Amino acid sequence: MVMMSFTELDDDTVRSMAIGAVFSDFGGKINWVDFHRKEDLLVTASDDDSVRLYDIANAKLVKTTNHKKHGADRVCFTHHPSSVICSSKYNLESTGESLRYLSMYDNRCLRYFKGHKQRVVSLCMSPVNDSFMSGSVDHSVRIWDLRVNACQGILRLRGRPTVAYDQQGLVFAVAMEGGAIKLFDSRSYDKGPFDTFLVGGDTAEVCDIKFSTDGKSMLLSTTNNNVYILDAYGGEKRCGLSLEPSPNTPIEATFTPDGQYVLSGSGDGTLHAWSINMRKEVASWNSHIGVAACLKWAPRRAMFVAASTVLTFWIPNDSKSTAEPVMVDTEVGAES
Amino acid sequence: MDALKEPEIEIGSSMESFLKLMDSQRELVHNQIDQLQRIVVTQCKLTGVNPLSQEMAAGALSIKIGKRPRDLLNPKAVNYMQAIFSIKDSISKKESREISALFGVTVAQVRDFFNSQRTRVRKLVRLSREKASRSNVPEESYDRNLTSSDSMIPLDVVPVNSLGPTSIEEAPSCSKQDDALPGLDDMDKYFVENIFILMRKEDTFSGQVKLMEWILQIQNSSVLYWFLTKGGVMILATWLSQAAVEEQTSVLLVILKVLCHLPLHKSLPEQMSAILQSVNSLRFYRTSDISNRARVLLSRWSKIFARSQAMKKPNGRKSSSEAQNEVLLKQSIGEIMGDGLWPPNTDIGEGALVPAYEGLENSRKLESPQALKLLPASTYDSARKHILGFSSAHNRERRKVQLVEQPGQKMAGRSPHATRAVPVSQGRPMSADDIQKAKMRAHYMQSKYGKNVLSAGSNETKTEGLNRPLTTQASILPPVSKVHVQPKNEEHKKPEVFPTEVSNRIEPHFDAKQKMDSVEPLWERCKRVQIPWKTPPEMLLNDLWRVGDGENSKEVDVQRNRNRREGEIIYRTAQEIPSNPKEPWDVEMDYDDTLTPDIPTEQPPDADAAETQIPHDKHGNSKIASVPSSSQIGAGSPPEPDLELLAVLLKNPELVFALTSGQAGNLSSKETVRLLDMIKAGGAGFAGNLSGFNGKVEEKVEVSLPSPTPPSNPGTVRSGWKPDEVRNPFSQRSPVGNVVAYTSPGVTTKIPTVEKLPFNSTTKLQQHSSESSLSQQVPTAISPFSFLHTSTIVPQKHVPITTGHASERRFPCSPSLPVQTKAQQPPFMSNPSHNYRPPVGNLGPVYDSWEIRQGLVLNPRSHANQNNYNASYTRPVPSQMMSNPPWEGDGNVVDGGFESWSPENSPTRSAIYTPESNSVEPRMNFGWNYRPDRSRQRNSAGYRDNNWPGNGRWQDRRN
Repeated sequence: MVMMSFTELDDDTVRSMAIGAVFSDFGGKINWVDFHRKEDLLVTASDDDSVRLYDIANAKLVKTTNHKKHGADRVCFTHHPSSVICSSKYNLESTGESLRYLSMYDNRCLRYFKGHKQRVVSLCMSPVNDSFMSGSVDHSVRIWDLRVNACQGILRLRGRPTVAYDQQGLVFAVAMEGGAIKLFDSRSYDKGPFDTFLVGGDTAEVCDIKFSTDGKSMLLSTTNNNVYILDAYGGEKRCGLSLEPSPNTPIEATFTPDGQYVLSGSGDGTLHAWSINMRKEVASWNSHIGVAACLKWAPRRAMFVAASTVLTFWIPNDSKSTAEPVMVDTEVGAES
Repeated sequence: MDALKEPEIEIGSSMESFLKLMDSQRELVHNQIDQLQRIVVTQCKLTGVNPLSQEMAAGALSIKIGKRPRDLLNPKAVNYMQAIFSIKDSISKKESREISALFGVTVAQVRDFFNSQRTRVRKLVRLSREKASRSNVPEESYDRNLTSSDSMIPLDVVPVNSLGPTSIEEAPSCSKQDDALPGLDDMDKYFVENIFILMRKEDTFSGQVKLMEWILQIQNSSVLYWFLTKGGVMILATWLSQAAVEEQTSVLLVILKVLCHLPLHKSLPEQMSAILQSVNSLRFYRTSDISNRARVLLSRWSKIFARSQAMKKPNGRKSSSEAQNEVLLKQSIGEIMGDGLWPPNTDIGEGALVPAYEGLENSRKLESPQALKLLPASTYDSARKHILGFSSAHNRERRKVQLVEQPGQKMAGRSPHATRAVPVSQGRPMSADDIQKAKMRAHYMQSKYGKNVLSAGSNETKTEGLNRPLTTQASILPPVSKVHVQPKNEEHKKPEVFPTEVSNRIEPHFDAKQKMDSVEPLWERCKRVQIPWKTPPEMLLNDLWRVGDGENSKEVDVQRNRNRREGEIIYRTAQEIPSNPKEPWDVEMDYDDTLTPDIPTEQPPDADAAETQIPHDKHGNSKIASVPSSSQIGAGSPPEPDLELLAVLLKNPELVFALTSGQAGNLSSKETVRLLDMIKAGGAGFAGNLSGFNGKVEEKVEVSLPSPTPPSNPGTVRSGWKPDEVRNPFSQRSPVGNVVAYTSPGVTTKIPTVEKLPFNSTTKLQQHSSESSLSQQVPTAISPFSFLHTSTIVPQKHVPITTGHASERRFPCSPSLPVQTKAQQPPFMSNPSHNYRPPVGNLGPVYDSWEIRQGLVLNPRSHANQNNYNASYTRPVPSQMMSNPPWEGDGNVVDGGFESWSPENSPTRSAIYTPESNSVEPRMNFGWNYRPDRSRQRNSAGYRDNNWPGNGRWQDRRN
């Protein structure tokens, strides 16, 4: 079939998504995955203290590096295709090296970012420049620049913070205790937030924020497995999705690159897709990997990854013959 | 046979007492039955329901009630739970919930299953222990009969025997084998005869210490060796672990001493491994004395073993596999000694496994040569050893699958389990679970520690294989001891090669099983549903979204250059990958974290103020009218406006009035009087208006604080441009003052709607900067606004003035007409007071920056400004700016304008004010920088209209 490209996905394409590649050689659960913004690359951080680089166009493992000393918790790409930022799990007290700037190219740590006293649980890179943000369970958010090890700014707040840049790099959002989302201008964050959203009626911790590529919507996942879609300008709730609880395993939700759909994992080991505009569920699948703690759609591909202790790449399934079993699976997933 | 006879004799001899006992028992039972009946009857009376109805019905239908929940457990669930149970004794609530969800059984059932399994295992362990000791009892009793020394022992022995006369047959055969130790003196003899009996009986630590002291007194090496080979080590190991658990330091000390005393290098490796394990765990004992001793002991043993291995070689008795065993044992010791990284748990797992293998192998090896010397006794020996080992099993090692019912598993399936289960050295049965558990641990360790575990893994497989042939011998344990006898024969016949074959065969079975229990099925299922890989189609992002792709990143280049210098490192195998990445080239100094700027997490009050601006405008025009006048005056009198003074002024309208009067000197008396009159008149009106807005006033004060510059701006602009106008508002105010007060609300409320129109149009205007369009647009834009006014004066003024403003800035000539007409219109045109001009003029630049930027956009406002002297409107401006898309786009224009203006006016002033204007700007920034861009996006995406509603929402939320 001729390679085509989408500008928008349709329900059928979303529905046809199926597992196209499986990577099961992880020695523990996968803590985080991140796509490169431009290249066909994926990076994973897992409990076996490895950081792995995948080629998502060919579904190949490109590189593996071990990080026994620090562990690998959150990971995200910088703008360079072989550099990543990774947060540490171990030896935080003794070394303070809670964040590491790593080059996968020659397997070298390029820089330590010291400052967080405890584990970093949220990490994101500015889409436009070299700054990045980290939110830690030490109740602080720090803003950094890749090129210097000094912290550029610190936000002290209550609760466990979650941070996210919008796709344009103009704004960043910080979620704090009580489900409050504060919006900052990324160029003059020192002036404080310019807006605050509250997720009405839900005071659960927001454990993940994502902005849609068009900048119009914002996706919040809470620790009690509710997913909200907010208007990124006004903060109104556009959708609220409640998923099966999965204690101790936060689930992740993701926009499709066209901003038309939202996908989410669930505590019962299923995956769901909703159309934002139609406000209806479009598809659901059995994840086949249990509760998918990581779920991200590739920024420039019609594919997404779901990961628990196994990493799966999902791609559209064009052939009708195999589409049938997928549907069957869907039903099974719904039943179970 | 002794044992068998004993109970018979007892029963036979005391028949009467037995009958008595029977009678009393019967009585008791009848009693209880009666009581029960009574209870049932009462309950039936009280409740009206037969409490036994269910049971009766069940009985009638021949359903087993008690068994129901168990019956409902499906085999899958049982299997799964069994698998889990093999890993751990108890499960958390969460796990039980998961299991229940997985297999559709209730949580209670899961819990019950685990409880029952636990008790069962415990019981079996206890039983088997008893059995083991029982099997020894005959020998002991025999010994006792010979010596009849200890009076305590018979009391213990008899009841044990009476419990189970099953294993008797073994007794005679076992009994005599060891008597042949040569050259014993009395003390040693006594020791030989009694030590085991006593040791096995001894439960208290103090007693144990006494016994061990006794052992320490024995110097005869053959006796010690005998003690060793008879399983004394196993008992010691048990004591050791018990003492360690109970933290009996003194006991531990004595045990370690005894271990030093014993010729352990001669002991069988399997026993050695057991003790090794216990001692090893002591390395980390709380008391340093103990831990040191343990370490010394271990290092000594490792040396001894190295030596003994060297010594053995010339004997030629050593098969290759044995050599391997030795190596493995050494390795295990080495590992235990050396590798601190491994948690104690793992140590045990590995340490136990390796020697286990060895012990088995060796014991088998040793047997055959020994058989020549010692006759069949040797096999019994080994059998006994196992029993002993088993009897000394630690409390925590109580799980054996073969003892646990495996529903749905056939005997065939079970027997291998049973066989595998037993022949572990360290006095602990090696069960399928153990192997599996060890494997899982190895798997885990492998993932955690990489290749280290590989050796352990290979050992395990061997262990499995080797266990197999030994099965026969091993299966003795729990069942009946007679098995002993046959196995040894088989054992000897078995070819040496067999084990390896078996191991090959068994391995896959285990793997499969293990996978079933762990995550594997997940990805297997994935594989099943997997579709062939195809490069996923690209998704094109809308360019208008302006999704960032690191365009401002310097890091990319830095890294690209660095990578050009460095060679890429590619690891071909997993083993090559180092456990940590290379460290940074240079260690960077830690920065001073106290210098890290704190970012506020609350919205600055300014932001709120800016946003509340519009509402306050709505109400407060009248207010503003007064404010500007004062501020202007205030600004006018001192060379540069005093902000504090301004604030005070703003807060106190009276003061303003007072000041105004104070300034009167600048004005002509006539003017002043008129002014004052007007102000008073207006003030009365304001007071009325303000009464309702007191709260707002405060806000406003804050708001206008940072904006002292603009108030005088109009003056500046006009001063250069048209002096008349400067005074214009002033003079106007007198007549219009009241009018303003009432019209303004109407005006301002309309502003949003009005603004919308001019907004867009002006945007374009500015972008195109076409004069014609401007002159056309502005009026049109404003027209709705002016129409809305009730007061005739104001609208008239508005139109011309606004246009005037716009034109003033940009097109001094063409639009000046309306301005002039307008200027002429006001009847009260007072003479321009020149005092005002200079200071005002200084402020020009700032004003310009505002005015030019906002220029047209703000027209509706600026009209109001005209009335109100603009002062208060600096604030509104920003608020409006927030929603003002063209802002950024106009940046260049603005700057240009700004610069061109500033030199004209006094440079010093502008210098002073520029920072201030800056300080104002950033405050708005959060609004502009963000909103403009986004709104631009929206515009491009066709969302222009949303922009305003959006803003509206903002305000609404604030309010």
